[in-house]
Amino acid sequence: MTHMRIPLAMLLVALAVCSRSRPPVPAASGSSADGRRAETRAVSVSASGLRRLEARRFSGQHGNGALSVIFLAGAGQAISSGVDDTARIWDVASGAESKHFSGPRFHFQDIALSSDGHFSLTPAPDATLHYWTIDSGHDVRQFTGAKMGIGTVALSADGKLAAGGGQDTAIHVWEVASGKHLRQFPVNANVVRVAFEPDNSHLRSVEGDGRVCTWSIDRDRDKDNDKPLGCVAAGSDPVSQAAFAADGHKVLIGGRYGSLVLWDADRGTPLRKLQGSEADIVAVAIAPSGNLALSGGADQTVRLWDLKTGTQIASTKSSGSYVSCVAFSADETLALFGSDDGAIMVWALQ
Amino acid sequence: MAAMPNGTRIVHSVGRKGTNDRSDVLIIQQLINDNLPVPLMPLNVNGICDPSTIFAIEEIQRRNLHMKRPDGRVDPDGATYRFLTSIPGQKIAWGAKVSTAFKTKLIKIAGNLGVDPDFLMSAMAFESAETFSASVKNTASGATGLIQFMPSTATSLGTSTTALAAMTAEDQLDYVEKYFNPYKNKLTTIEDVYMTILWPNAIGKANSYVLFSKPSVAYTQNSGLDANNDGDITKEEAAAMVKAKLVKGRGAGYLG
Repeated sequence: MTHMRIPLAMLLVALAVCSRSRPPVPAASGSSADGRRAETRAVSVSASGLRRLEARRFSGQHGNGALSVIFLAGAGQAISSGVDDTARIWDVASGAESKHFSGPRFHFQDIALSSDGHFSLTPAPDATLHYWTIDSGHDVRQFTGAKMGIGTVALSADGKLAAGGGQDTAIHVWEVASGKHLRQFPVNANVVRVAFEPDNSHLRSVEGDGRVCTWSIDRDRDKDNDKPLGCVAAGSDPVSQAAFAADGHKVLIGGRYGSLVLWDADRGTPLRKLQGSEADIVAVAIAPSGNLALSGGADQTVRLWDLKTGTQIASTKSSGSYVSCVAFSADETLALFGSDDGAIMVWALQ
Repeated sequence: MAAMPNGTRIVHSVGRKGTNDRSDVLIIQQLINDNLPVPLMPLNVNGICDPSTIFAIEEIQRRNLHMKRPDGRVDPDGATYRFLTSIPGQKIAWGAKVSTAFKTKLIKIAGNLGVDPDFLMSAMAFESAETFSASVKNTASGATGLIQFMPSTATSLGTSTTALAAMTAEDQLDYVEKYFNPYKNKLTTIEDVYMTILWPNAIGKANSYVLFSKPSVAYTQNSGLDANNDGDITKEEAAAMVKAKLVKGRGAGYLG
C-alpha cells in the first residue's frame, strides 16, 4: 500500500490553487488507481454550459474581495472565501450558492483539503488554524501556537500533519489527531507557500526573499535541527506568490513586477520564463499533470500557460481590478478564479 | 508616567473585579478618553466603573496589547496602565500629522517590531505622499494606503486593497504590523525599514546594492528613485527619499 500513497501525496502537496489552495486528493484520481470518477463529472459540468474558453460568473460575491477558491472533491462543487468573513459552497454547473458559513474563521486565504475530501484546513485572521467539516462548518480541531498572520497551510498526504506559515516569524507544524504543536521553524522573511513532500516528513517553503527551503519534521527538536536542511535562491523580483508542482521538484514563482518563472526547486535554476504580464502576480497554480499553469494579477487577467513550452495558451478578464485567486479542477478542464470585487468565476479550459 | 499631573496616579485596580475607587476610576476614564486608542465613543467620566468602561479596557487590551483573553482590569503596576500613561508625552516624526490614536498605536507597534517609530513614520510619509491616508492609491500599480500595499501583498495578508482603502488609517496599522512582523527585531536602519516595503531581498545588504536596473518593469515603475539617472537604483538612492522624510518629519510643525 505504501507505494499507492505516492501519487496521492504528490497531488495533495502540489496541485494547485488559489492564491493559495490545493485541490483535494480524491479529485485527482484520474492519475491514481483508486477508480474515482471526479473528472468525469467535471467534464460534464463543462459540457453542460460553457464553450471552450468561456467564463461565467457565480451568482454571489464576497464583498470587498475574494481571497481563496478551490474545487471540492468530485462533486461539481467549489468553496471560496473572502474579506466578507464568509465561506461559500458553490454548485459549479449552475453557479448558484448551495451553502454559506459566516464568521471570522471563515475568512481565509488558503485551503487544504483532507484526502477524503470531507475536511478543510484553513487559517483564521487571529493566526489560529481550523480543521473543520465542510458539510457542517463545524470545527474538528484548532491549531494554536502561531502568533501572527498564517497565509499558507498544508496537510500531509497521510493526513497526520498540518503546517502553516505566513507573516509569523516561523513555520509551524501540528499533529492533526491531537492538535499538538510539534515544530516551529524560524524563517527570515514572510512565507508565501508551504507544502509537504510526499514522504510526509519533509516540508518545503517559499519565502518572500525568494528562498526555497526544505525542512525535516522528524529530526530531534533542538536548535540546529530547527534550521532548514537546505535552501536555494529563486526569484529576481520581490516574490508575491508561488505554487509547487505535483512532483515537488518544480515551483512556479510570481513577482510583484509581473515576473513568472518555473524554477527547479532542488537546484534553484530557472526552467521556463512565462512572459506576458508586467503587473503584480497575485495568484498562481500548477495543474495536477504539471503541464499547465494559471496565473492572475493586477492586470485583471487570468492566463493559462503551457509549462512544457513556456507559452501562453489563453487568457480571460476578471471583473475586478485584480485577480486574487486561481484554481484548476482535477481533470484540468475547468478553472476557478476570484477577484478583488468579490466575484468568483468559472472558466472552461476545454 | 509623565503624562498625568501629580496626584493622579491610580492607587488600586480599576475594571472587572477591581477595587474601583471613584478617584481611580476617574483617572482611568480620563486616560482612555485622552488616548482613545480604539475607535470608541468617549466614556462618561463619572467615576463609576460601568460596563462601557470595562469594555473600553478590554478593547485596549485586545487591540493594543494583543491579549488573547483581556481581563478588563487596569492594575497600578500592570501593562495596561503603563500603556495608557506612557504614550502621550512621546514625540515622534510626523506625529503632528496623525491622530493621537494613530500615534499611540504606531508607537506600540514599533515597540513590538523593535523598530524606531520615526523610521516607520518616515517610510509611511514617503509611501503615502505625506497623507497618512488608508485609501491613497497609485492608479498604475493599484498600490494602496500607508505603505502602498500591492494587490499581492494585500491578498497575502488576508485582505484586499479595496478593504484596506475602506478602513481607518488606525485600523490599517494592524496590517502594517502584520506585514513587518517577519522582520521583527532585524530592522535597525531606516534603509532596511524601507527595503522591507520596497525590496526585502536588500535587507542587510550594503547601501551600494543595486535593487533595480534598466531595462526592467521594476526599474520603470520606480524610475523616480534613480537620483543620478544612471540606470541603476541602489539601496542608498531608494532610501534617500525616506531619509529626507525623516529630516522633515522631525522638524517644527511635523514632530509631535
